[in-house]
Amino acid sequence: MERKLITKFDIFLISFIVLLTVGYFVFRSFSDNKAFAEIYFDGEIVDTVNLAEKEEKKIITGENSSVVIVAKDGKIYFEQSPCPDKVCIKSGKLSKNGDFASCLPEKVVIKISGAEGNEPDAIVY
Amino acid sequence: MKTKTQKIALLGILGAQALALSFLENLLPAMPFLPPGVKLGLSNIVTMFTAGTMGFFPALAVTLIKSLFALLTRGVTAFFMSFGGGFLSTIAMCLMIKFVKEKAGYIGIAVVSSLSHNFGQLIVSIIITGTTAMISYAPILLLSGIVMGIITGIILKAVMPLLMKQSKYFTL
Amino acid sequence: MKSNKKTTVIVIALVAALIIISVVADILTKNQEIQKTDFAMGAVISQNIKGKDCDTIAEEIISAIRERENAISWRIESSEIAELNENKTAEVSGKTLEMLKQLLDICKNSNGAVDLTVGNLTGLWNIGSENFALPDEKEIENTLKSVSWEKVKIKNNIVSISENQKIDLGFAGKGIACDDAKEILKKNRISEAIINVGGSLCLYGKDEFTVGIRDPLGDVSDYMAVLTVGEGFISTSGNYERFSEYQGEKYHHILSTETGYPVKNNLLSVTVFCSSGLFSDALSTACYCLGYEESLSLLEKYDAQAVFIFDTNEVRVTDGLKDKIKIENDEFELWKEN
Repeated sequence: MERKLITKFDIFLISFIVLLTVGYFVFRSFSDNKAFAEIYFDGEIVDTVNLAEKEEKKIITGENSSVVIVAKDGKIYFEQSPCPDKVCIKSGKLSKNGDFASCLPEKVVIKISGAEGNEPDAIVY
Repeated sequence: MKTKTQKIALLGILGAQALALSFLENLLPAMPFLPPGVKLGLSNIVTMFTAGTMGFFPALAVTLIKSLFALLTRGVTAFFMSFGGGFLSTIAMCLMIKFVKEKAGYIGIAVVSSLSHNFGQLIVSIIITGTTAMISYAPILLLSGIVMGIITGIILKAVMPLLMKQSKYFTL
Repeated sequence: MKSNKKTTVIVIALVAALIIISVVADILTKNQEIQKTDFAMGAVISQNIKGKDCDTIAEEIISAIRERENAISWRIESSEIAELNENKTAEVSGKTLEMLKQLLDICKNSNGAVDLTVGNLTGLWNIGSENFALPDEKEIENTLKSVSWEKVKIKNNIVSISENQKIDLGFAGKGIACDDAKEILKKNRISEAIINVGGSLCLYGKDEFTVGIRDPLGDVSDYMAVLTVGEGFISTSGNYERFSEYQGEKYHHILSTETGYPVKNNLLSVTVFCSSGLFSDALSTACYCLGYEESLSLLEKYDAQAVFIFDTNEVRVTDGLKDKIKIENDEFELWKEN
C-alpha cells in the first residue's frame, strides 16, 4: 500500500467538498424560510422567533421560569418542562406554518406563523 | 502468502489496536471549538491499513469488532451508530483503493473514509430518531470530516512502516 | 517514502485553512440567543440576549437585579432602604450611596417633581391595592409635608432622613435594574441584547433598535408609534400603568408632589430615551408631572430625548427624535408646529 501522502486528486477532492460546504453556508445565509414562531405565556406573547436565524435560541418561560424552549436549525421545540405528562416535549419539533404545541400546566404555547408582521424589537411601557 | 490462521491472528491484533485507539481518543479532552459529536476517528487508521493490505472483508471484520465493543460497553444505539459509520466508510475506502488507485494519496483516502463514516452515522441517526432534523448538521460534518481525514491521513503515513513491520511477523 | 517540501507546505496550508473554516463555522453555529422571563422587582423581567454563554449571562443579570432589589426595596425588611425607613438613619453600601446621589440630583433638577421621600404618600394612597379607598384630604395634606428630598442628608456612607419620612424608589427602580443589566452585558462577549424590566428597556449592542411605544389607550401589547434608536435606555410613565377605581373615579399611580393627588394634566404618557436607566426612568415620571413645556430644560440637562402623548391624541417629540418616530396608529398624530 505504498502511495504519496497527498496527490493532486486529493487536493481537488478536498477543494471541491470545501467549496460545496461554503456554498451551502452562503446559500443558507441568503435564503429565508420565512417561518416565525410565536411563544405565548399565560395568553400573552412573550417572544417571536425568526426560525431562519442561524443562531440557536433558548427561551425560558413558564410559571417558575422552568420551561425551556429551543429554536435551532429552523425548528422549535419544548426541551424541558416540569409538567407531569410531558405532552409538550412529545409534540416534537415544529417548523411548518400552522404547527402548534402547548404545555397546558405551564400555560405556554408555541405557534408557527408565516409572517412576522414587522413587529418592533421591543415595546416600552 | 499468509495462512488463514495467520490472517485471523493479525486481524485480532488489528482489532485490538483499533479498540485501543478509540479508547485513547475518548481519553482526550473535548476540544472546545469542535461541535458535539465530532471525533478524530483515530481507529480509522487501522481500518484503512487493513483495507489497503488485506482487502474489504478483513477491514469489515475490524469494523465489526469495534462495533461489537460499542455494543458491549455503550449499548445497541452505539452499536448501530458505530457500525453504520464503519460499514459505509469501509466500502468507500475500498472503492477508492480499487478504482482510484495510486492517484489518491493517504490524505485523500482518509478524507473520503472519514466523510463517509460521518454520513453513515448521520443516516443511522436519522433512522433511529425518525426525524430529518440532523440533516442540517451535514455541512459541519463535511468540514470536520475533511479536517479529521487530513489528520488521520498524515498519521497513517507516519505509522505505515510500523504497521507493515507488524504484519510481517505474521508471515513465515 | 518520499516526502517533498511542496506537499508539506500544501498540507499545512490546507490544514490551517480548514481549521479557520471550522472555527468560522463554529462562530456561525454556536453563537446563541436566549429569551428568558423571570419575575423580580414586582415586575416581569424579560431578557433577549445574543452572544456567547448567553444562558449564564442571563442568570447573572437576574441575580444582579435581585441583589439590587434586596438592597433598595422598601418592601424587603432586610434591605438598606427598609432599614433607613425604619431607623431614619443607616449606613449604606457604596452602590446604594451612588444611586441615592444620582436620585437626589434628579430630585433637585426637577424641583422636586420626583422626590425619593415620597414613601409615606405612596403608602397612604396604596394605588393598585385590592381594597383601595380614597384617602382623607387632611391626611394627604399632612403626609405631603413629609415629602422633601432636601431633608435627606448624606455623610460619608451614612444616610439619614427626617423622622416622618420614608423613601420609595418606585419612580426609578426599573431603570436602576436596567443599569445593572448593562454593567454585566458590558463585561461579557455579548453582541446584542434587550433587557426589559417591567417595560423599561436597556438596549445594547446595535445601532438601530425599533421600539414600540405602548398605546396608552390600547391593550398591553398594542403600540401606537415606533421609535428607531441606538444603544441606551428607554422608559415610559403613563396613567394606564397602575391605577385604582373608587366610586367611578380613576386614580393612577403617578402622584403629584405638589398636590398630593394623582397628577392631572393633559398627558397620557411620556417616554424618555437617554444613556442611563435610572435617569430615563426617573425623567419619564418627572416629565409626566411637569408637562411638556417645563420638561424641556430638564431633558436637556440629562441629554435626554422624549415623546409626549397628549389626551388629544397629539404626539410631541423632542428635536433629537423628530425623524426617528413613525406613528403606527392613525388615531394619533404628530404635533404640527404653527
